[in-house]
Amino acid sequence: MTTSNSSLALQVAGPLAQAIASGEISALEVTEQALARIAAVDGAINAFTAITAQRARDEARRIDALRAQGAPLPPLAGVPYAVKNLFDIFGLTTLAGSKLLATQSPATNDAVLVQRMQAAGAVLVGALNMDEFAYGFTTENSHYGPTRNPHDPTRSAGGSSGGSAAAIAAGMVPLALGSDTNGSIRVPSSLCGIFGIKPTFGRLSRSGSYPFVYNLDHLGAFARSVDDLALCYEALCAGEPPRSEALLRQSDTPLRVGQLGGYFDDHAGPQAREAVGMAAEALGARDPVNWVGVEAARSAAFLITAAEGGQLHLDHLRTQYDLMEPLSRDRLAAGSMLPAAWYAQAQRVRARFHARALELFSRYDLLIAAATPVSAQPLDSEGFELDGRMLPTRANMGLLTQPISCIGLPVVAAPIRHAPGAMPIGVQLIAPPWREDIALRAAKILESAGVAFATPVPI
Amino acid sequence: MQHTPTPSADAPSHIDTVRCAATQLDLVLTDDALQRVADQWARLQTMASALTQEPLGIADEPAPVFTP
Repeated sequence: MTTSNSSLALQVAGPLAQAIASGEISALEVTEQALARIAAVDGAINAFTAITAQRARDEARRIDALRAQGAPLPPLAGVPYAVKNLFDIFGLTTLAGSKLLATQSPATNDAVLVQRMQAAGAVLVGALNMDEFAYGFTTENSHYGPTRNPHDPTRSAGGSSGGSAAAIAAGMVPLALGSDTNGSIRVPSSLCGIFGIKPTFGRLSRSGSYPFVYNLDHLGAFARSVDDLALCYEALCAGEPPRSEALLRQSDTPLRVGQLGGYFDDHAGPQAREAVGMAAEALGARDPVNWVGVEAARSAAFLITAAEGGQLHLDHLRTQYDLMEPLSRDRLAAGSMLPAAWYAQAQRVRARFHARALELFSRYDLLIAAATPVSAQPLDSEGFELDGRMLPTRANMGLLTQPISCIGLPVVAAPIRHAPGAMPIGVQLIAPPWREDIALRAAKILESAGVAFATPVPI
Repeated sequence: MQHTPTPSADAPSHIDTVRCAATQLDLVLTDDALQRVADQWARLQTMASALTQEPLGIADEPAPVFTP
């Protein structure tokens, strides 16, 4: 690998860890380069809400000391990363994008997934911006400012994990963690042109993260390569699934791939359709698949989110309404009033839709759909056009992701190579429950074929 | 260009529903906020109507603790 200082922060994680392990460069040098890159770039992007420089230097020195002792290094030794600011970081207040929480006591421990990244040798450099309480798809945060898309700073990075995706796309860190309740990893991955993984619901511990919707919250990761995504996912799982090499190992048996039609085609714009077509061709998708009940499942996710989110924040709504994010507080208030009959019906629809998914996966190993209906929209955009209809941006950027997370399926979002000058867009590679390996393998096929492609934006 | 239909939140029933629920929940809303919440409530009502596209039988149990 090239280790010139100016390019260090732009490297992917795997080769970086190898260079540190071989002594080609120290973990501290890599950390200083990452901190310098963030200082130089983040003013234009606003991905970070806190920089943990002292902690990062301490963690890097520990890695360098291990190497000096000749001790074996963990797989992500010295690799910089950052986390959405809903993860607990020892000594920092967990904001979850909110001004209301800024006066709370600092966290007394790291979130479990932060502990696992530390155990894998990764170096935490900061906390990342998000929509307040993760309720949004644009990271237009009225308290901490909007996160800007590195491909075009006048546009949204997507949300709610917009800071995570933008930090990766801008080459500030090679790895980042985020959360996904209705699409908050997959939407910003698509809009920032990077890879993201939302594992199966229940796969990764949520301990030490600020909740939004208990029935739908997932945690996951972002990277600029599939190898890095698999390495990070392996670290987050702490050895439960196979190692990353096994996760990515190609099988002699070709995948049975279905391209989702119907609702997913109807709600995809021209660029999204083209991206799905490219992925489908590269993966040998056999048939268009009509998944019955998608619209009802999306509605179920929408209602469950509103009801549980509204209930969770009812005390905030009662006592500090004026301090809450103006872009989401009214939605939370309306959600808190949702009739129980609608909530119960939504949970029954969800179970029915899950049963249909399992039936589909008896015939397919993988399903493909666009990750977002359109590419990144201008900041402050109220709506976008889809087949002659205007749809509200903040509520609809997730309309292709919501039905999938509603039933907890594992998904890798893959950025599809786009024309020069065009904004990026991604596809969802959707696998059966607990089969993250299939989604990662498919992403690797697309990346190897040059169909999926992520590179840091030169800023 | 068409616009997606949004149920009118001006209808007295939506405002009344939100005002009544806010009272039950000890949620104090200004008149402006009441109107905005009613707009959101109307959107939720549209979503709830979409649930009926999925006919359910008595054997269709909810997903209480979800494990895929």
